[in-house]
Amino acid sequence: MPTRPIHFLPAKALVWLPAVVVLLPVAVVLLRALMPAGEAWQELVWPRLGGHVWQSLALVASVTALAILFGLPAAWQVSVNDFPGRKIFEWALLLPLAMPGFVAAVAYIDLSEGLVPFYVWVRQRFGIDAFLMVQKVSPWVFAVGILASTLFPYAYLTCRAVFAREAAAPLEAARMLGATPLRGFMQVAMPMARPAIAAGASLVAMETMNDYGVVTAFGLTPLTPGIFRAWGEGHAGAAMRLALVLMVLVLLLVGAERWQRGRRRFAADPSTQPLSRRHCGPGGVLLAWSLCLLPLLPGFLIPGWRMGRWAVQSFERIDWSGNLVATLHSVGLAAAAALFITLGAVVLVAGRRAFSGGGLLLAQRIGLLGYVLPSALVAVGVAAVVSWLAARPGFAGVALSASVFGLLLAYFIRFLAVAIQPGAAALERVSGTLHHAARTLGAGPLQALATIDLPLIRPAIVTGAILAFVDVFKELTLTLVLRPFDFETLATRTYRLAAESRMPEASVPGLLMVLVCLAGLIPLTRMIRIR
Amino acid sequence: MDAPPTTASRTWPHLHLRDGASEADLRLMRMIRNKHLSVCLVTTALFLPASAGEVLNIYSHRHYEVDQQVNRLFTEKTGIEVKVVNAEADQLIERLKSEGANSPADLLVTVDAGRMQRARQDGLLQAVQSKALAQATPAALRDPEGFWYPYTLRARVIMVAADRVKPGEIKNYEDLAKPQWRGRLLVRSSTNSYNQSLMASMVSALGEEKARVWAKGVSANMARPPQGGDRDQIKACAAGLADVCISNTYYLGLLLDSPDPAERRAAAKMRVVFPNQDGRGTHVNVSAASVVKHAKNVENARKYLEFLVSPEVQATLAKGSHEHPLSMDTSLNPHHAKWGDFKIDTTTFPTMGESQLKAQRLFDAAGWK
Repeated sequence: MPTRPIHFLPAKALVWLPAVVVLLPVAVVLLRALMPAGEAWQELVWPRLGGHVWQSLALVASVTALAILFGLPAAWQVSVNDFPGRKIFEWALLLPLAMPGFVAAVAYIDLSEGLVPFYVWVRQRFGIDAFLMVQKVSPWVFAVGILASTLFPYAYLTCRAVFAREAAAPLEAARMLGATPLRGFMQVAMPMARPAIAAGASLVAMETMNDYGVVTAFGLTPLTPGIFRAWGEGHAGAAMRLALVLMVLVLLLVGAERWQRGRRRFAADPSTQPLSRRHCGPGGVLLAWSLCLLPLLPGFLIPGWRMGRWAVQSFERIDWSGNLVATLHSVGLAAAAALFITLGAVVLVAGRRAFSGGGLLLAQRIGLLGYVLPSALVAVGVAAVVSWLAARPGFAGVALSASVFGLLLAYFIRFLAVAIQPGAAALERVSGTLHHAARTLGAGPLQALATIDLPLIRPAIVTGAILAFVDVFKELTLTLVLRPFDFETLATRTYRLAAESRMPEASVPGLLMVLVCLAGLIPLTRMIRIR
Repeated sequence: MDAPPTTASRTWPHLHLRDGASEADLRLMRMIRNKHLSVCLVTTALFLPASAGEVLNIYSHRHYEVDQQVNRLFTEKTGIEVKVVNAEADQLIERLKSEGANSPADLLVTVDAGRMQRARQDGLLQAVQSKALAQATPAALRDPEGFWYPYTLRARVIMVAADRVKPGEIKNYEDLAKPQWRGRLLVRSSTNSYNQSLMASMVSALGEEKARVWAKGVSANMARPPQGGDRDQIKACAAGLADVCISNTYYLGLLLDSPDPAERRAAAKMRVVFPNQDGRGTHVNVSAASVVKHAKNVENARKYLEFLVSPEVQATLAKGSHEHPLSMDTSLNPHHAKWGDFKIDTTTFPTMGESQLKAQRLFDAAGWK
């Protein structure tokens, strides 16, 4: 163990910096939420709270359930069966990850208009009450369907990893003992996959809680739009209290997932041999195709096709300069954010190796926390921090309305975890003895990191950077609230045009986003290739 | 707590990494590194400020194509460059407050008289006296002391499906709350400022309690929970989902001139009813402009205001955005001519800003989402 000379303490403090930044909005929101929120909370926001919470819970429950119903059977099919097109489905089922929910919504808002004859028929056939009931339910059907079919790949990915690796040997054993595929699924695969399902489900639930674009497109008002509404009405204190309620819901969710996992660990054992796949008969092929297409159609193919058609039809009217500026903004922001996020992650991960103190593990965990912080909470927290800062003499330039500073800060907090995770995982596999050997041979901590550790985990850092880039690129909720005036990204442009019912025009920036996100999926598809 | 890698791989299982990196991984990395550099360069270029000459800085809530046309015309005529920052009125007002004397803004443009009334109370505006402005703008629809001036009129009306609603079957805003329209009415969300202004006029006309009961009746008549904008209500109404809707008139004009034939067909099925013609008149809001208190280019701003109310620009706006001109001359736009003349509610107009503050609360109490 190398000794730690005293003059490295400032450097150690620097390692804490990214973690402190992540904690900033939580601290601000906690402080403000506990202060009296005034009349606005009592009279305006408190009466709405029940509705917000109820809608959030109903939405999360139904989206999560449907996402599992979409992801689990599809993962099972591509893992244990061999059928024509299996290899294509294996990666194609990830495609909806490149289709942000609010982009897919563009294609469906319009489609809901096409259902009017059906609604009219309901009114004529079953009367006004049935008609009103259908009207109340149908936005939910659309919102839940869109969110579930664009988020199910999280459930698919986690289940797929278990079926193909961990459950492989027990499943082979079950087969040899004469179990039918159904029995193998129910009695071997399902129990083993439970923690994975819970993990995937919690990701889906988190994304659902953070959604703003889809729910507002269909007029639903769960907590996230509720927070922004209170904020927009000028009731900052009340908005922060709502954000705190959302945070508590998310913590309950995380707690439930941990409880479900119990002592089991969800980590693939890399030594396990992958499962050998079974050839399907014609019925099996049909079943496999249906189960794979069932989520893929609404989550990618239908919205992609509709928007593609609009783009072609309105080709001559496309506002290329507007789209170009929005693209440059999106790419610039995502690149800058990815750069800062990667730097922050490297500081946290590498810092822990160089100054192996117990406190730094805590710093890294705090860095990971950002991913469970609700977007709405990050947004109001960052907005408060930035407007405080902008009021200091000489800092007026950072004001939310005038610069992207607040936006970058929010992205950093929200997505730091995305870059820490692969970096930390990779460094875990690089033995610390290499670092210590370099230090014993006289290298300083920074020199040892630069020559030994960082080059070894470079692919992981790059992966982290790409994932952060894509996450920022398709982010809507934070961007919509924190962007400077007159500053459109592809995401906000798509959302705005769709909100103005200008679907053909919204389809072009939407498709541009999908294309970039598709490119971002490439490293992901490489990761899931099991063999 | 578990060790972090386990925690992380549990929560972000899709981030599992393969051990080691292949040739392809390294190639990808190099490609990305080079791209990063070019991306950074582009970003830097993008955020650099543009150079300045004789200018007018506008904070505007309006973002129609015709506005850009008007601004280009202004620059052609005066040589003054027009720079516009677009955002919602509330955000713009907040920004003016926080920027104080340092604000670059010369002119504030909103689409709501209530916001202007409140901005004046907050001390954000300055009065401008001008003969041209006084002559061109109706006294009832401008600030009495010249703190802000209207330049287009926006009537919020009832639209009915012509084949299902007889002429005279619905005449007043108050009728929208009658039980005969249950499941037959479409209107957008109460968070929208057009509805808040309409509600403000109801509060001023009827008093808080009656206005709340009215909103409750409207809410009970809705054919679906509020969803989408005015255009969506018109289209859904035309498609048969409901029989009446509330909308600003110019949205119907925009649909009637849409490049999409389906939208034109839908709009043709609708008929405009100007409400309360036998009483206080139809609720009208305005696009209004005002010179900002700390404006640096006051003279340019005054020129622009006078330009906006000139006959030429009034005609351009009436044709381009389908809003009614200040003169209420319906011959400038064929759709206006077809909809006809109407009486404007000027009695509730001066208290719009004040009543708006009550509107949201009453909407909530009435269950109008």
